[in-house]
Amino acid sequence: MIWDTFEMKERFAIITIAAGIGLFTTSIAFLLFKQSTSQKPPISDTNTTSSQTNTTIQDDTKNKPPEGFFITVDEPQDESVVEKRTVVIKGKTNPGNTVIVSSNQEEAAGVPSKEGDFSLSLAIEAGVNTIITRAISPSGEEVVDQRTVSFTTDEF
Amino acid sequence: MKKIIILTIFATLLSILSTNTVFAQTKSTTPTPTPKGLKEEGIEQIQKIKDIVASKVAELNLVEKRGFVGTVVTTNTTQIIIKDSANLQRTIDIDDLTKFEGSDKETFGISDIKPGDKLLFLGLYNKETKHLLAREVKKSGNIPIIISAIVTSVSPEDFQLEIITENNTKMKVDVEKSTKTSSVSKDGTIEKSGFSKIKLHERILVTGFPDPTDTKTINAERLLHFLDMSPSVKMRLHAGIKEGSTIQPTKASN
Repeated sequence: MIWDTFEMKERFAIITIAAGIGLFTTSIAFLLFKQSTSQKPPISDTNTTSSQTNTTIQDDTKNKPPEGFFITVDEPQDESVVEKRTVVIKGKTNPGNTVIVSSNQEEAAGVPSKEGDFSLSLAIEAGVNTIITRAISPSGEEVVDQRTVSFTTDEF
Repeated sequence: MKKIIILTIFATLLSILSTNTVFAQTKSTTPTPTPKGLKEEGIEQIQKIKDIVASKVAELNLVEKRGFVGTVVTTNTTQIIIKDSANLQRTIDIDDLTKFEGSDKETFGISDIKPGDKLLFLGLYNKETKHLLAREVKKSGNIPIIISAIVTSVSPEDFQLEIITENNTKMKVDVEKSTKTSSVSKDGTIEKSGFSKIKLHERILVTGFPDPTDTKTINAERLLHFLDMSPSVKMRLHAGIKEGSTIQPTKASN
């Protein structure tokens, strides 16, 4: 057999060179494979890309304030339970309105940004609180959002 | 020389063979066979653990802490059916761990609850059954009512206001020494104010509790009067204000 014609040193050299070439070729092949999979997503991912495009369009629509006089409150969630005595009320209304938020404990007021976004901090009581957010237009009309937020640190 | 050529061919062949082996491992789609050494008992145990973890994950996603207010419709020993602020029917489950707390820390039980009672519920809401497993049930005496209205009368002698809401509800407001009065301006600045600063036909936000003896009277906890924001058209209409009229200051002293 050919293998038997080699001396021990030569055998060792063959194995080392073979392993080296093998490792190099494997690395190149792996890199090429990784590159090709990142460039060509599977069919299911193509659908995701399509839906992502749709989401972007929907998000753009969401960012545009609806026509007319409105208020939307994004935070806090209705019926949510929090572990802090202060909640931040975030939402959107027509720029130029005045926003008044009320809890069982206090009122806070502010004006929205040019884009209509507002964010106001409000102290709440222990237990269940009614949070009322009002947007009042310069002409005096008002639109209201009412939700319940509870404070408790009890574990259940 | 001959040896070098053979050596190179041999090394190249070996490397190609090893590369193919790597590809075969990466692209294989056949499932890994179960190790023969694992006993059936071990596999069963792993499956049980998997099931427990899966059910716990599902439970965590399914249940969340929630709190809401509602008016009792019916009740039995294990359930309370209520209508919430949106007039939707909700089911509250009661168990041995449910705590009941009345006003002034008085305790009450499910047998004391009657249709029409307004209660607060805190507990675990199951998104699938849409039931709330109550952990705390309280009487809603501590939730104030907040009314947006126009001032139609200011009585400095008895510290009373008369107001009309947008839906034409007339109410009296009793202002106590403890009532906190503030003013708000268009830019959202809230400042300390007093009863004497409240003007006739001014917009006002009243926070308080209904008088136990007269439901048309509110015992005010807080008053917020609007300095430069006019009442709505409906409020002005109900108050009989003609367009273009100005708001008159009162002569009350605080």
